[in-house]
Amino acid sequence: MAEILNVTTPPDDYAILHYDDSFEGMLTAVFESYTRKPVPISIVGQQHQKRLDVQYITIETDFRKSERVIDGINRIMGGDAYERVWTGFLSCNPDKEDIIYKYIRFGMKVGHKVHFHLTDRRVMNMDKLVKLVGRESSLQIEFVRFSRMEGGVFYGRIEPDNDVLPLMMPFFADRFNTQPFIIHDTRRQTAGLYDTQEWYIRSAEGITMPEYSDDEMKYRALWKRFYNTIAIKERINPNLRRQHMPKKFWKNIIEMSMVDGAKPTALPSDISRSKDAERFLNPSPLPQDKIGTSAESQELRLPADTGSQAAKK
Amino acid sequence: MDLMDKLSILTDSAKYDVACTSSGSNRSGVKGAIGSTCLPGVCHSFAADGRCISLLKVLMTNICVYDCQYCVNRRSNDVPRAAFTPEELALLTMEFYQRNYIEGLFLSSGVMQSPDASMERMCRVIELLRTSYRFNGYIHAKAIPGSSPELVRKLGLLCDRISVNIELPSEQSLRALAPDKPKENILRPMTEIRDALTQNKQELAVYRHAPAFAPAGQSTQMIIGATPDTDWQILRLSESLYKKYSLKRVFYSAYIPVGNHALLPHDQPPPLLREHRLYQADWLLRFYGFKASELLDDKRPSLDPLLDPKCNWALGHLDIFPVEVNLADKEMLLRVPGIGPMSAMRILKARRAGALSFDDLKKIGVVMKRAMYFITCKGKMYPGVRLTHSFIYENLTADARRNPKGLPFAPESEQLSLFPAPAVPQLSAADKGGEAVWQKSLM
Repeated sequence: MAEILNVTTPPDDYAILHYDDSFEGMLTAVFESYTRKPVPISIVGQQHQKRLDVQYITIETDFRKSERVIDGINRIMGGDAYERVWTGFLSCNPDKEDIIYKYIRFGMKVGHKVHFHLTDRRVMNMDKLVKLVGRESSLQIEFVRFSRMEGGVFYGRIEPDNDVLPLMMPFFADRFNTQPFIIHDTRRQTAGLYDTQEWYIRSAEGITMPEYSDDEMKYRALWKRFYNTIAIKERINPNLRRQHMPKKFWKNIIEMSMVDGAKPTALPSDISRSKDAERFLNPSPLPQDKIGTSAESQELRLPADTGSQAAKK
Repeated sequence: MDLMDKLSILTDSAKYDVACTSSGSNRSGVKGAIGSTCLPGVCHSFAADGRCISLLKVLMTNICVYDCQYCVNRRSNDVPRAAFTPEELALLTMEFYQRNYIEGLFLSSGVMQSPDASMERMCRVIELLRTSYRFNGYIHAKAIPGSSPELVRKLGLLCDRISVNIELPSEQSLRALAPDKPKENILRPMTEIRDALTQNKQELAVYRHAPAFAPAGQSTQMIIGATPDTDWQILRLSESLYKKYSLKRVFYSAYIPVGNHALLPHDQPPPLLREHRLYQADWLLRFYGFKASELLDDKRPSLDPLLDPKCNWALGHLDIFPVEVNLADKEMLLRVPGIGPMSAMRILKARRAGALSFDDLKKIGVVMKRAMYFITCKGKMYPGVRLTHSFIYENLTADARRNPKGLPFAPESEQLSLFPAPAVPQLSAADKGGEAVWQKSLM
């Protein structure tokens, strides 16, 4: 008993792999886990609070190794499974690496049959991870509102919990393939840009926006009028509306936040800096302190943009 | 009149049309054109009444020569009138679409001069969108009863979905309330659309690039509660519409008092619960393999307000229950209350990895609150459940009786019974079943 209590260096069978927060880094760690005995218990990212009783092994990202893991998942578990791993990685769940790691290790053992193990804990956790990301992505696709700027660029703002920009960009690049647009993730300070040829994701710092086009306010007011007229007053049902359109989205949905015919006083680029302007333009139903504004969210990891996009293809 | 006023008037007069779905069409973007559609449809907003806003739903004009009593736009009603020009409506649609406010256009119209004249104006808007603006998004248009077959065909080739409103559930009601719309004028374009759809399917099989005729199919809608027609009549009608006219959807619209005709109900709230029950029954017809005659008959012409139609059916057929979840085929699983198409599929999948327990079913997304009475897992019933009518009925309706909001009458307080049924421990968290999600995706 005393010996166990006096352990100074953690035992080898209690190792956790530590990676650099990139998708390839995580897959490299998965690769490394197969070369180590005993098998490491988990994978964690940079945000992880290190524990004292565990031995951490830092993994250097190696694209050849991550490629081999991608091949392996596609071959043994199927393309669906890889799609899920990729989508799950966009989650904001702090345990996502652990969930994905356990899912891959289980899937590599049972192969394609992993899709039948719907009641296995490892598969269920993965299902939930992917479902939440997928659901948020479709909600953001429904509710993002673009504004036409001078010069014809369309600008939309989102504030998603999960990093859904890489899922939204291909959808809009396909739909609006003739119009340049920007989707600005104000939580992560990243921006998805589409120039009518290709889309890419970069940091939103340093992007200056032109002013709203002349007719922007006119169409906002028309839309607001349409929105207010279409409801049937005998059927008013605020609960049902909130259920389908959760309040946290209202801030960026113009028909829910803009006063009829309001004129903008600040450029969008200024808006992201000035809280006052923001409050004026979009009287928010949420208290300001609850809205994750830039200060803390800037520290969040940028998505491995081009890499992920390439990997997806 | 400026655009803002026109938009207000023509939205206000279109809002009673229920079909605002953008589903059924799957078309990815085309280089150089703007827009795409996706199969389950996309909602872009939700109005204060909780209904989804997917399409810009407006009338071309609310000027109408007809005098249908249930309709807010009838000739004799004193409301402000307006008409869009094709150019301004096409531009408005584009501006809204580019800002991601909408998924496309839902266009209907009052009858100005003649049905053909109105149809031509509608075609003009859609032509402008499809050719001048190269709009590739969703368009749903209402064909006007009594218009010529050529125009119906032309409209169909421009739209994703085309529909003709059947308006009321029976011919007598139609004759009494809509004297200008004989039944034939409604059914004839429906037949034409059906035939065009069948023909187009064959053409597409031969030439992949043949122009598509209304790829999202045909739908219709009827008003519920304005006339004495029963649920049984309504369901039978829907069933034959699905079968004979191969409709994609029948929409039901709870009547909101807008008329003052002696035959119409006044001052009564819209029958929302009845509308809800009809949609539930409609789903049973389309996705669960039920027949209308299984749900209702001459002796029982109304759907039960306390209990959904599927539970009701199951209670009437206790002899075929309980169903063993690990052995039953898909058709049988779909008959179990609490198991929808999605959870049935997941059960079949999960069964391949091992026998399922009650706990597993809950994880899969089966609504155990309802399913628990009707199933066995590995040969065992759910603990505490008795397969008797009174026991199941009391437990299933307990919530509705405790909270009678929305019921058209006050339910009996408690059914007297010599052996009062013990309450069953409720499984929680399973309520978020696959069913609701599935329904939402199809709305």
